[in-house]
Amino acid sequence: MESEKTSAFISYLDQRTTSVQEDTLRLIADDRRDEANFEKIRANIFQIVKTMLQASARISQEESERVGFLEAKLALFQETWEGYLRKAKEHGDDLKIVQEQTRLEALAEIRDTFQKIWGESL
Amino acid sequence: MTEENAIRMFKCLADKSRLQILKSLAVEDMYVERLAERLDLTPATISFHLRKLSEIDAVRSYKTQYYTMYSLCQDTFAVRILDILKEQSDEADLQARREQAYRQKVIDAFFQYGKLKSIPAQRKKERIVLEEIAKAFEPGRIYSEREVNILIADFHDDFCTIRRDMISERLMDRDERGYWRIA
Repeated sequence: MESEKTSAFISYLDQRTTSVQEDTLRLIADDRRDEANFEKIRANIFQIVKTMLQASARISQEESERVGFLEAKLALFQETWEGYLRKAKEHGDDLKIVQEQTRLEALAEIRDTFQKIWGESL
Repeated sequence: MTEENAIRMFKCLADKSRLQILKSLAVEDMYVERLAERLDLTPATISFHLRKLSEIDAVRSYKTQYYTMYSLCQDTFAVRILDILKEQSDEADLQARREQAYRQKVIDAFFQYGKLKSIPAQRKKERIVLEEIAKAFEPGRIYSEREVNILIADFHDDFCTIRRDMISERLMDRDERGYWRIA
């Protein structure tokens, strides 16, 4: 059984996935396919985090442990993607820079919501 | 411009944001942050688009004291699309070979020992058959209707239909002097 906080977080992730997918379709209709592809990356991040949260149920029945697992994963993502971004900047890889920045933007938004939901209890 | 470059250029330009960047640069040279503000995109996204545009020589950059400025490459856009289309391409040879192969297939299917087996129902195929028959007529020479009928009869008994169709397909023409093959 999901807690109220978990349900709220999943609902947020679903809602953001839908809204980013709508943005993607709008960009495609507006002949901005490359930017649409960046939005697909963004939508993918929300989906990945949702999958991780659901998978965390297999780790423990305790919500605090599941939340801790997720928080650690989000921090790991941040570190990894910041590293990728740094490398992309070093090599002047403009495509990778936008891709990594998009991932990090989505992650920052997710971590912010995560803190709002579980911040006090962590 | 090679065909490959033309395709790269058209693909790159088929994007609204990139077109907007070019429109802005057509007015004046700009730096990334200014373009980002005008187009309401992130500087990283603008840099990505500018990179793509510079790959097709649509824009070039130069350094000033504070910024890297971008400008439109006027020469790239001075090329007429019609000139690109008229350029000889590798694909043209391939298309000609495919067309010739199709032509030969139709001829083999409808002619046997120099005789036309039947008049094709499909206009495209009939055209090929009529073109083949038209080769029997010397260009520049005027033929009487009887001569035309005899020549066509060597291929098929229904010389009236073939003669009329050759006129309507603009392979032959006629006036009071007679008939002649259109070159």
